[in-house]
Order: sequence, then C-alpha cells, then structure tokens
Amino acid sequence: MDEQALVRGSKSGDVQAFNCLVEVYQSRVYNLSLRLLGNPEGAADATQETFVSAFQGIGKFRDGNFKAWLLRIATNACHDQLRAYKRRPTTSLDSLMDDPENPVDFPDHEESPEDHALRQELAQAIQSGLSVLPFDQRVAVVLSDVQGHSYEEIATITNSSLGTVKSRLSRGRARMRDFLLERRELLPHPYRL
Amino acid sequence: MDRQLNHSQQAKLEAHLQACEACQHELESLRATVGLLHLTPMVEAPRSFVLRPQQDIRPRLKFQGVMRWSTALAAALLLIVLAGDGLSSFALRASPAAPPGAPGPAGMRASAPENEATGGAAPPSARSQSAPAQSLTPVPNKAAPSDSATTSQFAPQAPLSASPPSRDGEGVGRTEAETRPASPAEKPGLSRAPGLTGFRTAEIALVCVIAILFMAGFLAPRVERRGRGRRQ
Repeated sequence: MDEQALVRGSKSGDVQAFNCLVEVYQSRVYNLSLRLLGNPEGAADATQETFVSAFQGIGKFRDGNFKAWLLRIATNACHDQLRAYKRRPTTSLDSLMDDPENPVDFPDHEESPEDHALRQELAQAIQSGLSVLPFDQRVAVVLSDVQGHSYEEIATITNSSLGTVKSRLSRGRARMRDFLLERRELLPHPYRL
Repeated sequence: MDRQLNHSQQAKLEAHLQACEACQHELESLRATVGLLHLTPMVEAPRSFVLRPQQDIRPRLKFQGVMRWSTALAAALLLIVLAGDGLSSFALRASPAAPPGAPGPAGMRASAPENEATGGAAPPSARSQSAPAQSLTPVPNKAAPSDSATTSQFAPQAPLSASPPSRDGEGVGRTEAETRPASPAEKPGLSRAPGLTGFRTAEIALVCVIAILFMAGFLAPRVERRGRGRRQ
C-alpha cells in the first residue's frame, strides 16, 4: 500500500495503517533521536512519543512530505526531553551522552572485533562533538551530514528558511571541527583530523 | 562542499583557494569533519515502536479542539467580567456621590436630596462626608421608613435649591426613582446598580457556558468510545 493511502487510513483512525508507517520510519526516527539526545533510553522514549503524537495529531497533517512532518515531531520530542533533563537533572546530560556504559551503537556481526571497536570509538567521539553543539545546529548537522537530507528537506523539517539552515549547518560544522581538533585523542587513530 | 554554488561562484572560489593557503586548510578540515559525520553508523532500533491497540490512542477529534478553545475563551471572558465587576464595585464604594444613571444603595439615594435642600452649595467633599454613614454601610431594612420620610419631606424642595439643575443632571431625572422609599424587598445586597446586576448575570451565564463546554468535552470521547465498543 502506498504512503498516501496509509496516511488516509491513519487519519480515519486505522492503527494498522499507521503501524505500517511506523515500521517504515522507526529506524530513521530512532537514529535521529539517538544522535540528538545521545542516549539509547531517551531516544527510545522520544521515538515512542513521536509516533504517539503523530497518530494523535495526524488529522492536522495536510498532504505533503510525511517523513519531514514526522521528523519535525521527532526533533520537537527530543527538544522537550532535553528541556526536561535540564529542569530535572536527575542524571547529568553529559554523563548520559559520554557514558561508555550507554553504548550508542549495536554490534554488527559481520565486522571484525577490531573494526567494531574502531567504529564504536568513532561514534562516541562524534556523539561527544554533537553534544557540545547548540540544539538547532545539532539538528542541522545530524539531518544533513549523518542522515543525508537535502537543505530543502531540512528547511521543511525545522520549519525554517534555507538561509537559516545553511547558517546553522556552517556554524555547526565549524564548531564540530574545532571540537574534534581540540580533542584529537578521542578519535581512533585512522580517523584523526 | 555541498555543491550549492553556481559555475561562476565555484570558479571564483577555486581561484581564491589556489592563492590562499589558510582557506584551503579550512576547507579541507571541514571536508574531513563532514566525512567523519558520514561515517556515523546507523543503529538498529532496539525494539518495535508500533502502537498497540490496548494503548487506547486515538487521533484527536477536531471537536475536542474546538471545545477546548471555546472553554478557554469563555474562561477568559469570565475573568474580564469578574474584573469589570470588581472594578465597578470598588468605584461605587470609593465615590459615594453616585452618578445619576447608577444610583447607589437606598441610604445614599435618600441622603442626596437632603444635601441639595440644605443649600446645595456644600462642596463635593462636604457632601461626600455627610453621606458615608448611610451610603458606605448597607442600610438595614428597618431604617428604610425613616429614610423615606426624610426623602418625602425634602424631595419637593429640590427644584428650588440653589444648586443649578444642570449640574450633572442632578435633581432632574431622579425625583421619582430616587425618592422612592426602599421597599422591604430591596435588601442591601440586591439593591445594586443596573451595571452590577448585568455583571452578575454575565458571570452566571459564563459559568454555565463553561460548565456545559467542559462537560461536553469531557463526555464526548467517552460516548464515542462506548459507541465504538458497541459497534465492535
């Protein structure tokens, strides 16, 4: 069934139709949440919150880019979570983002243990760099350079102008580069800048 | 880097990069950073996020949104009316010389002609000092006959008083309405200005509207759910 039909079904309250959309987008939403929040538990919560909110608010969705609409809800859910962390800091946000006990990657059984360790290390260094970016720059960098969205899509997702997206992306990349240059030891040797 | 430049801009940039080592270094470091970000692995979702039917999540009805906004609007109106009521009551108590259209309690109404009859030249402050004893405190019912007696004694003389009749219309349209003795039915709390009565009516109406809207918004989803259960 095509996406438009699934959206129409969801609008009429069909949970099964909506769950087909969930299965298509859950990996993308979870990965976006994980990179924005930096911890798997928070990302899982934000992902669930995203789909619940999307189903409840699907009546407001006008025909357009469903993926962009969903990712906008996801970024809002992550933003809300970060604000909640700041209001009730029961766990330090930095510790959540940098804690090696909170793996940000799951092992791929096809790669060697060395490669897996390198990839894990790289992912942690990148996550540390992302965590120092302001939220709007982090969103732009993750959507563009991690998930590969175009400028136009990012503008739709973040509900901002193309110029704003370019500016956020430029500043975010520069800040990320500075962070990785200052903490070269965080990066695995083959990946050092 | 993202191939967003047109041909001429690209040519200018390349010409500059050939001449500027610092910009070359800047661009290379940024490209390397973006390259690293591209290497960030995609992660499998730890579980399925499909919605379960027992979660009882339904798309929000438009009706519920309308109800919510209507209730909020009615509540805002109620606040405005309450504020207006409070301000009017305060103004009425603060100035015992009531405007002609909105006479105060019976005691105050009865005392005003008396002042005019005694010359009417007394300054407003003097007049307002003479009135408070009766006007600021609610007049008990048993005091009404004496007030009416005073009023009936002096009311006919009001047009003859020295005070100009054009002064705020005092004494012009008030003889019948204001010299009327306070009837026993006119309890102190009820003998309010028409404006205040209007406020009270509006308050009661708005409270009723809010209650109805709230109940409708509260009951509609339950009725709908019950209907759905029956259909299934």
